[in-house]
Amino acid sequence: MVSDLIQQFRDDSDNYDQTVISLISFAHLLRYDNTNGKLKKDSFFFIGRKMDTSDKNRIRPNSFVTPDIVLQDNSQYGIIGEVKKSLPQEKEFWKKTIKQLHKYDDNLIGWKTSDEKINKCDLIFLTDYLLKSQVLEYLSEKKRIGEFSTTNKFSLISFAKLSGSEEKFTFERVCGNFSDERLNNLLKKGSPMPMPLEKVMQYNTNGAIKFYDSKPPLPYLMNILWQFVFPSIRPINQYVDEKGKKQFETNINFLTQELHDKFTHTDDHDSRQPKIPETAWVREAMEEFVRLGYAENKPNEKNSYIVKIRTIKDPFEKFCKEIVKGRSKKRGYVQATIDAFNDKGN
Amino acid sequence: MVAYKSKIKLEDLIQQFYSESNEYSKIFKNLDVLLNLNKGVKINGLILTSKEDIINVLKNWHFKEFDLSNKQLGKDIFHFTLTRKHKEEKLILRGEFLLFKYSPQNNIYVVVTHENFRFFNNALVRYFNLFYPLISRPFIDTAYMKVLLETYESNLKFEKIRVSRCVTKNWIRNINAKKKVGSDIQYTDLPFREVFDKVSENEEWIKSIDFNLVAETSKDIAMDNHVFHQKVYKLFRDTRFQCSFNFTLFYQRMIEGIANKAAESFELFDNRSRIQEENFAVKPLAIIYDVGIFKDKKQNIRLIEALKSLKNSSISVIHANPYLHVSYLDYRDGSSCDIWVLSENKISIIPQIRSTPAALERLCECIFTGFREGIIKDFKGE
Repeated sequence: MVSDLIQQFRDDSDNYDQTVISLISFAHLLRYDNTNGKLKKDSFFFIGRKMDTSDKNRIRPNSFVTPDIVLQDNSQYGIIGEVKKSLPQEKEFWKKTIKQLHKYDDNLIGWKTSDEKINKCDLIFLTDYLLKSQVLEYLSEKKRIGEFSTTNKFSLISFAKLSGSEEKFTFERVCGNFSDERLNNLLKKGSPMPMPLEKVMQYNTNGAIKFYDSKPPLPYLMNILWQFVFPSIRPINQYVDEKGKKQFETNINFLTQELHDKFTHTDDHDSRQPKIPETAWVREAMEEFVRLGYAENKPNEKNSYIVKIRTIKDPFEKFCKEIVKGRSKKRGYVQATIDAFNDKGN
Repeated sequence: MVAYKSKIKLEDLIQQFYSESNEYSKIFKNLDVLLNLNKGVKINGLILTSKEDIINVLKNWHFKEFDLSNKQLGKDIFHFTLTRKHKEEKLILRGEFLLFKYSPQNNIYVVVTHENFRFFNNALVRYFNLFYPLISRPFIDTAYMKVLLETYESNLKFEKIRVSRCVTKNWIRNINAKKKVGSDIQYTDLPFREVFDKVSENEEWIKSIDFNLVAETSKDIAMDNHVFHQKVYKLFRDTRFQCSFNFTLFYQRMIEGIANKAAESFELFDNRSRIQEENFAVKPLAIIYDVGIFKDKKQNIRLIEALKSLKNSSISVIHANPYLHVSYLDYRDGSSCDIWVLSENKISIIPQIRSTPAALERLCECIFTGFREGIIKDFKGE
């Protein structure tokens, strides 16, 4: 039982990591100009972006939405979409995704143009290759009974990880058309388009993106803090002259900012970009460090911590195990299972 | 009486070396004279890298077990006396050494001493290791050792290089084997090319090599008639060296080669921290192999095991098969990186917020010795 939950954390973290890679790869595929070997000059890409809805929006008029992916091909044309690498087994929960797509089916405001509007906008739903048939069937049925319809053009895109002499993500247009012929030719129906991951690494200077607009699994976030953020807080000189003082002070605001600056997609950001990661996610991770004995709350200073560094050979594995064991001990297996399920759902 | 005189002379020459080597030419001349005396003196040395001025670093840090005093002899040339006192081990080691900057490269320093191997290893090397990552030690791989020997021999008129002792390690391919790296010591008398060919054939790497120069009086004379100098040189993978004859030649043909390689590596590994880049952009490195080693996905596990074997470090495995993604942290200085295997012949290293040249050197050496030697390159422009 405990080992199942540990495996669940591993799978969820791997899924999260792959979702991030798929988002970057997809954007790269669409924005990359093969003729000059660079990203298209007038294109923009955002992971999560606050877009204003019109008074005609059928779900949330005169408000705002935050799509997972906002891809502006040029000043006239853009794509908005939702990304789900996994979906709940119970199809009743899939309605939420349809509702989100309906929310985005609007003349949204918030594009990188002079009046923040765009002439043409398409919708996409990006999901794992293994789910494509089920999703296609589901959407077709909903369309048939009138529960799913869009004014803007809609495409279902699947992505798959492909191994061979080099690792790739492949993207396939499962159904629907783009308004732009270049994209229709690029992503032909039934003809998966490969995107070698090394190419993405090579050309994307932000190759260190680790978060998107969705809460990461707890050990995933803790691992990034432990492996990348905490070590850089102590000055190098302290490492030479350690004498056992392997601890330092830090606080939630600083850590959140560090994660945002170093591990999220920040190109062309403005006030419409949501703050990723959310402070609450980081607080939860820090409180878990406290619970597991890797940190202490600083007395009389809210949001401040004293982190105690020790050598752990495989921090991610250790955090997975300790979180699960701690939860199981405290609340029993049933509650832990529910937590794991909820974490996955988030 | 004769013996007494020569003893006095040796001490005088040692004294002369540590007090009068105020120019580079004098360092080499004094060492040549010292070695020519034929009194069993061996010069031990090593190469160091330091981004900051090494003298300032040495002055600013004090370690409990060690006492250091220094005197500047000339521009970028310093004489040191080092004492290591270890109460529990009742150990006192005291010795002298010379440290000079390798010109014209920045960041590279050469240390030489006439002291014995015990002082050299247990006091001097140990002392400099304490300064990691401010001062670090470069490494040379097997392929480059061969290049050095080729260069050395190509400049010899009447002599050939023969290997007398070679310490090799081999990568054990069986992922279930308890030991991941095997070891072998060969006492031999073979031309160096034969030794390196065998090492390459057996997929081994060289930890250290002892070699000497064999004089060929005539091409027609059989090998048995060759005159052996009996002067042994020793070269270690971690750029320690030992020389017992003709230091000037050894310096020009070997040490300069090592120092140039160390400078090249330092430049490649330096300035990779994301913190110092605009928009915190990453500056990836890649280790390239001439064979598609990762075609066999079990090699991912071997690489993980190699990384796990590195002391004072951690790795978190995010994904192991079919592609590999791990995060790596060096607890010795807080450097970290992502490591990816996304193709059959390449390991991609993506340095993170902090990344020092010392940590990258240590990581690459761990991959070279624990997994396989390859070619390290900047990832851009592949």
